[in-house]
Amino acid sequence: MKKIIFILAPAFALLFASCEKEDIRTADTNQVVVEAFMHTGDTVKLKITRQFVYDTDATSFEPVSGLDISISDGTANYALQSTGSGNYTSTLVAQSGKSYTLSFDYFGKKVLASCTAPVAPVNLKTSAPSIRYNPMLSTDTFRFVTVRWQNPESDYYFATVSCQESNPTPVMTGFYTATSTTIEPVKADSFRLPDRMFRYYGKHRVVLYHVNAEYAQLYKKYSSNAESLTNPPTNIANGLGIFTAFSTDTVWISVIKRTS
Amino acid sequence: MKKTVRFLILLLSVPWIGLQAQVRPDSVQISAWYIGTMDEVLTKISKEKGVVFNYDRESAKKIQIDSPPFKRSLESFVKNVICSGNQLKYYINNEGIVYIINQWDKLAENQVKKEVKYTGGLTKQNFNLSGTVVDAGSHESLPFVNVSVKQTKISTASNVDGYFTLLRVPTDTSTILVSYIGYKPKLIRLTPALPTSKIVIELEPNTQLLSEVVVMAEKQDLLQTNEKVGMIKMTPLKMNTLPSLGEKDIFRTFQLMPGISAANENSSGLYVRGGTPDQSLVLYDGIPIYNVQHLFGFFSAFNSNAIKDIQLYKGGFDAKYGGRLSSVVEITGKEGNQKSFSTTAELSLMSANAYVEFPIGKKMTFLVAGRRSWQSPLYNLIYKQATTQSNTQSSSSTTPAMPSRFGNRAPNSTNATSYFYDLNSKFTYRPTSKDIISLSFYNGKDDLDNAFSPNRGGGGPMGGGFSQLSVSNTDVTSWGNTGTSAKWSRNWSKRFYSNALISYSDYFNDRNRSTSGQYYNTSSSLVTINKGYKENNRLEDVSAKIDFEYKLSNNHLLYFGFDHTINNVNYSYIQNDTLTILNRDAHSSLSALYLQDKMTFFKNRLEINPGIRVNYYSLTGKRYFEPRLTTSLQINKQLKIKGSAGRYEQFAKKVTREDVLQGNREFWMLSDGNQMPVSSSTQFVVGAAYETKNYLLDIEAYHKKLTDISEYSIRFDQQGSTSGPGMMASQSETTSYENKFFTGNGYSRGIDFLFQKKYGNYTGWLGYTLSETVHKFDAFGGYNYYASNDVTHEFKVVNTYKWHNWDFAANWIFASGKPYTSPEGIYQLTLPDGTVKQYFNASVKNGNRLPDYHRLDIAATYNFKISELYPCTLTFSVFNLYNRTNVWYREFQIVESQVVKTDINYLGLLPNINFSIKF
Repeated sequence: MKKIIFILAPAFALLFASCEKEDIRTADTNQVVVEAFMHTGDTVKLKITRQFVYDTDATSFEPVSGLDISISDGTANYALQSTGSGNYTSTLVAQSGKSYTLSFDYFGKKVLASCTAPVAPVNLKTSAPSIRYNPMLSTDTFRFVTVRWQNPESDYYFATVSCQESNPTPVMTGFYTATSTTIEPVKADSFRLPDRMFRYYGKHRVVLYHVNAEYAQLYKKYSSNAESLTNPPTNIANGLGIFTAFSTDTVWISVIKRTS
Repeated sequence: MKKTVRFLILLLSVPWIGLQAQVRPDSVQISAWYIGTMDEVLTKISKEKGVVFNYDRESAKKIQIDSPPFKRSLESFVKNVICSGNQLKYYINNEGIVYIINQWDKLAENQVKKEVKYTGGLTKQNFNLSGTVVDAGSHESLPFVNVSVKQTKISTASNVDGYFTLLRVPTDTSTILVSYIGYKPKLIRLTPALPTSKIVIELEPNTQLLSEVVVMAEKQDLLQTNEKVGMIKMTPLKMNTLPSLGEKDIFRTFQLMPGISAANENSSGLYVRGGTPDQSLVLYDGIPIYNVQHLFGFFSAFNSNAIKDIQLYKGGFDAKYGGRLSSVVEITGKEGNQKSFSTTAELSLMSANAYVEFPIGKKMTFLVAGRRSWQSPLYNLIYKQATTQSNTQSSSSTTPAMPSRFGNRAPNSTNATSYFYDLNSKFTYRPTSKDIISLSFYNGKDDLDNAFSPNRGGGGPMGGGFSQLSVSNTDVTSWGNTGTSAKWSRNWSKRFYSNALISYSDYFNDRNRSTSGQYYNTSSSLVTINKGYKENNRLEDVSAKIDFEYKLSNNHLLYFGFDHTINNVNYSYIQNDTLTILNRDAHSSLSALYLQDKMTFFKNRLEINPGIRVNYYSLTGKRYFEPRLTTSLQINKQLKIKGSAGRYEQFAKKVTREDVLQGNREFWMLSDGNQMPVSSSTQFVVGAAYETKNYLLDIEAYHKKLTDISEYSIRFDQQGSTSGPGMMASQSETTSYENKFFTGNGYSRGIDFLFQKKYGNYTGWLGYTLSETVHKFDAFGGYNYYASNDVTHEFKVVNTYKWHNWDFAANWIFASGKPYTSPEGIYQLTLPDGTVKQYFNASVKNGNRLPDYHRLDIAATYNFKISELYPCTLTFSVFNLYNRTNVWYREFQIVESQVVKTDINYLGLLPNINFSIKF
């Protein structure tokens, strides 16, 4: 009888434990949010916050300072300095074409992310240096300025168009306040700026951003549908947010008031 | 011929007739005037007629009898003159001795069944014996009854039609033991005069109601285990003594056993060892039933009055069964009373239930059983529980937020027209003693209309900040299953049996849940709502199968057969009236061949059942081999070790449509080998059972590996295989809802413990399961998470106590909380262009746990007869006695960066009463 028990007990134990114990994930509200948009040619800066957790006493997106964060470019490790309020800086200058890996520990987990810095937009130019516009003239017709660049790899690009006048003159008095417009990420090699999108006369700067897919996805997914809660995309392992790099180039357009 | 057989069977029951100089009391008539004490009267009758009485003489001297002289049977005299009014009862044993005892007293089995041995010599040796086992009252055949030769290891079980064959019975003076759950075991002493075939053995139901004497040491257990690995057997006969929610429920009774989760108060579906209800094959008279629930799952869709026998395999099931990963429930419907017209009516706070059964001529029987819910306070309460969102709410912020998606709805009693019904019917024809032809029909449906049109001004139900609400809400759900089968079984010889069946099953589940209307928000702008969904699912199953059993010897039995199934499945899901998320139409055929060999060695101590099932599935064009093995070894009289291993495939499966906010929904789909691969599982079970006369300790450990399980979710996108944990979840440009089927793997493992007291006035068991069910889907992040049906600890205590005409029962159930996904938080990022964006984040899949589940139910059943003729039972029960608030699931609404959490709770304290009468 005892013999049988000796035989059976390990058999049960073996069966119950036959799968090696793998880590089973459960809810962890200690999630850090990485906000790292590395601009090629600039030193790397990033911000770390915590997510605001429902059903807790938290009141804001709490910054996380004092972490030991490092970024590797494949050859060297760069430690980031915590400058308070969740901000970190580094001496590392992001370079086009290089891959970077971010890593740090948070609540016992290794937060990891990597990305490759895209090259600056190639051959960025406008179809005309200026555009003439006057919404007050009813006879006015549509005009466009086309911005072009090369995109053989079908990468993502987005642009911001902003008025650079220190005292800008609105195209229609009293209506517009924003001096900057963003054109959403597209896989394209051109876009057209219609005259009607300009709110102010004067010098406008068009910054074209060459971005990675992770950025484009995140941009599109910013509004969660309350009917079907969708997890926002992230490229951070054991964390949230984004670790990406972008390159820019700039062109200028002048918006000139048409008088006739 | 039949008469002869019947006569012989009568002889069988009293094999010692003629051997004893004893008069059978049932043949005795009396007509004299009997006056005096009971002792004097009985002594006189004994002298006159030669009948032997057994009673307490001292008490009998105190009872006066005065019986006028009219002719009647002795039995009628004993019953009406002696017992009636004197609180006595009588019992005539097989020897013809009349026992008269106090009506509360019990007689031990050895007192009433004094074994008298046949003293003549034997005439036959090693002969084959065959026959049928039937219910003594209705002559309903009894399936899966154990028939064995006492003091040998020769045993067999009757088949689904009640036929049995014992090969190589040692002598024609051996004793045969016939035992079946819910019935009194019967010992039959063979004599040379008996035929060796077509014998009919009558078993008497083991209910206090029907037996005049409660025989001690008789089998009282409600469910029987430890016969085969992972198998539980039940007859509905004793079920009504357990606490119920208004209805006797077969699935709910199974849920009291370890390994079958009871934490699904809402779902009468079976969660067996980490499996989901769709992974259980439910066969009703061979018809695969796809819908097994009524009223949101609070009740199972089977009327226990129409059921004769249920076998549940927790795993390791035979090669005969296929197409499911987890378990098999084989339900055998009653055939109908072969002797006389019989009817039963039952009324509970939930439904009215009636069945009628009668013979048509000598060869045919018919049975019809129907039940329909009525809108009693209990029905309304359960209905309200399942449809109202006015449970516990909490908001993450103090600002008023919109609570439920439809406001706090309550079923409007004037609008709500909801009901369920089911109908079972069976026609059986026995053209010869070897053939049975039966037609079976099943139809069950639920219709729930929860339409609600609030039209209120002012604050309204949407919270303080909203006004002038005008919303009309449609919420119609209906589901059901219709099934029919035709079966022909034939006993070709004592060794060869065949069973051919064709069946048709049609399942549907339709839901239309939409809201349209408008309201003014806080900034006085008019907001128009038009949201909701329509969901339609239909599954048709046409099956033909043939099974053969060939008995090579008592130690060697072959089962083989073929089946072919055609499935048509349609599913459509339309959101907000216009957006077709999914529309699928699929047709498949599945052919299967199986062979199973049951071999026993070492005087039946070692049993080995190897088997193989080969499937061919048209949608993948592939063959699937499923080897199976179950085995058991009886070490000594008490200890048995057992084990099983096997591979199982599932082709039609229920896909979970994940909905974090409103709760998951499920629909049936067919595997297509592409987006929805064929699911498979490999299972291993080892166990040991230590069984004494009164107690059983049974332990089984299992491990199931699950491959290619499916889930549908629009929360995630399909992605390449390169992504690691937490990596970018989306690579697709536009949302394609057709691509939202995900495939993953998982495992389930656990240990079931059962400690059961099987005999006596007090019976019951303790069950405990420690288990873990884990899934891993690459698309959900590639990490291991607990499956929605994972329950870590589950503990059950079932107690029944019999006292006089009363049955008392109390169950306590504890289960660890189930996992769920919740909206977890919100975070924001400042993009390079300066814009600040906020992102909602859901928790790790099933990363949270609901509070632990526990409840206590009690019941008391009073058994009595009206006019000494009609057996009745009256049951009082209380569900959830200490009114524990158990959470069913959680709903969430996100309104302007705030989350409102709503707990949908299970039922609180619920008293119930049930009355049943049999005519």
